[in-house]
Amino acid sequence: MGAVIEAVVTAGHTSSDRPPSSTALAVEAARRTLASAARRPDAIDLLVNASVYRAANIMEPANAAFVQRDVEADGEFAPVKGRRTLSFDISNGACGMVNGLQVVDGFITSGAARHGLVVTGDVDPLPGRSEGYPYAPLGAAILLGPGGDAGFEAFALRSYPQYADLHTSTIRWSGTEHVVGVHEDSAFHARCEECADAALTAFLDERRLTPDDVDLVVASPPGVLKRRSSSPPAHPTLRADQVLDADSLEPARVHTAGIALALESALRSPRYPSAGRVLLVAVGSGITVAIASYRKPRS
Amino acid sequence: MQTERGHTMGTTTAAGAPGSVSRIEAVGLALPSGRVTTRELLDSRRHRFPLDLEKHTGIVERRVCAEGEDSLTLAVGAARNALAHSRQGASSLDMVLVCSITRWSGGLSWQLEPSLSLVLADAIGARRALNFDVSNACAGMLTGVHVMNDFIARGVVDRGLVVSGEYISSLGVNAARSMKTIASKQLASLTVGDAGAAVILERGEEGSAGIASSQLSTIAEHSDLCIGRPCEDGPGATMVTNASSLHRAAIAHSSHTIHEALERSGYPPETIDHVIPHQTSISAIKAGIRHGERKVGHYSADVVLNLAEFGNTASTTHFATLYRCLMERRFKAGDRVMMICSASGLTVGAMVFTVDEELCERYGRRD
Repeated sequence: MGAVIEAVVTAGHTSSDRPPSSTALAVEAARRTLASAARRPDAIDLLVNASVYRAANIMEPANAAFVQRDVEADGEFAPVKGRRTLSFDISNGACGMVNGLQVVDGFITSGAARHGLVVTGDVDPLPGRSEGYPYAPLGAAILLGPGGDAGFEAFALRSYPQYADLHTSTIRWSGTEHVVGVHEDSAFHARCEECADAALTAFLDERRLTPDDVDLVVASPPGVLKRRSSSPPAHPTLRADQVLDADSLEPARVHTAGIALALESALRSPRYPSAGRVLLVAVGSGITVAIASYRKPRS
Repeated sequence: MQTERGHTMGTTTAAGAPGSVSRIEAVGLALPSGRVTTRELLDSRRHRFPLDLEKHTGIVERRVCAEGEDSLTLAVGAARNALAHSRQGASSLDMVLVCSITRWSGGLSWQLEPSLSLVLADAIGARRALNFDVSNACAGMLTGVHVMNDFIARGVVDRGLVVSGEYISSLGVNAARSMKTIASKQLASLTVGDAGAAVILERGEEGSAGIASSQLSTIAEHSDLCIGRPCEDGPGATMVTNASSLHRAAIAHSSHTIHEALERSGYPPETIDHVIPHQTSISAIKAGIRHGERKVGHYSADVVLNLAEFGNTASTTHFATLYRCLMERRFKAGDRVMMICSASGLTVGAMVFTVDEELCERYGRRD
């Protein structure tokens, strides 16, 4: 079995004095995550940042390095084997945090890292110069540690590139300045629901699981597993009471932090303590569906 | 669903035995069609001041993107070139990681979503590959290899592609327009060139040589010494570098990582046959090697320089250089190679691997 989730925290923008910063949101979430798990920053061997929309669109260095610096996860840079922090960015739209979990889980499973953080933070990169930017500023951090009998047991990523044009975003030169453009087709969400349904069905089939083998499904964006396409699903699918009622989450539209927000809510749910197998399902541009199967520790 | 790509991975041993060794199966390169000499770039400056960049860096010219070329086209070109040297097709790839700093697609339009890896995997026909983008400045490809090596070692992945396309020549264009003195923090931007590079990793036979060690560390207190972002007064990007501080920090911290990479590989320093450093400038590379050898021991039998025609091609430098070495038949089977990187972040690292007979055969055996 793989790594276990030690803590999950999201952090919204609270200061009215200054604009939100993707790094500051990720740092705030990371600090509170470490505090929640009673871990010191220098326990972090691997830090992965999954944000897409960053203040000032800094492309170099990896924004994870700023988070590492501000969280003070450097530790001692002494020649101690395997105990130095490595930070880098992963980008895959709304699925980036699940990809990050897969990478950190792998390093912990292989023994290359003992603890790892997956962080994110999205903000409007160029306020006043962004077209169609729809997301609320939100940071998130998920702390992973060594598992034992519990932890992540499988990951899946399915892409439907025929829908790649339904959600695109770019930074381009307008002639006088750089502008951010987020373009989303009105059919995007309906196609996301179809793809999520298909990907989840395929995942359960490949793992030889039935819906009854799953106790809880945590999904982002909200509602992506609740609504169905016009045609009925071809295979037995999940009951409504297995899916976290993600529609109640606020703010309603967040980006890469969405899966952490849903997971944070799940941890507070009365259904979580009795759950054994929990699925995380993130859906975003591509269209890409990322799924993680997690066996929750007993305590 | 009409078209679907992807599959499920366990956390361990889905494909092979844990503890597997990764080997380099193929390497690819893509170069843009344009060339700009260092003299031409210096002549394009708005403010002229004495600067012998060619002598200091060893860079005579660099390749630059022309109309219709960008980060994505270079990455796709390099991936296809690697596949052309591979004995496997794209459908065999379990994983595709695009590790570019730059994400220019369709000219100087920066693609935030969807990921470049999604577009690239679709373009080359990697229909079952797990894909995402990795970004870690000039250490991007080595970070991608580091990640994929872990997936292969756990037996989760059999074969994968790490690729990057760097369209960074706009840094030089924008620096030439705004630099006023030799103390400008955009000086390093004049050294860059465009290129795409790709490497296919696969699980090696039991007991075979391959990647012996991969070490990367981020010294985040130096994270603000080199910052790249979209240009404020023109298309493309700008990069502000405190070059001397970055160079000092990189030299100070690299030797620990090199020492650890060598120790983990089990190879004594003097048995390394070739060193491929990050291609920045001749003076910086020589200073780095001198300092490293004082700390670690002699390891520089053959320091490979690829600056004269390429310049600094950011995350692609190591594998672009490896490709040239293979094409020039510089290696023989069994040669030990160490790649050394220092990148904004500050990320320092080293990867040690053995060039096997099959790889040499694919690019032509040295007599």
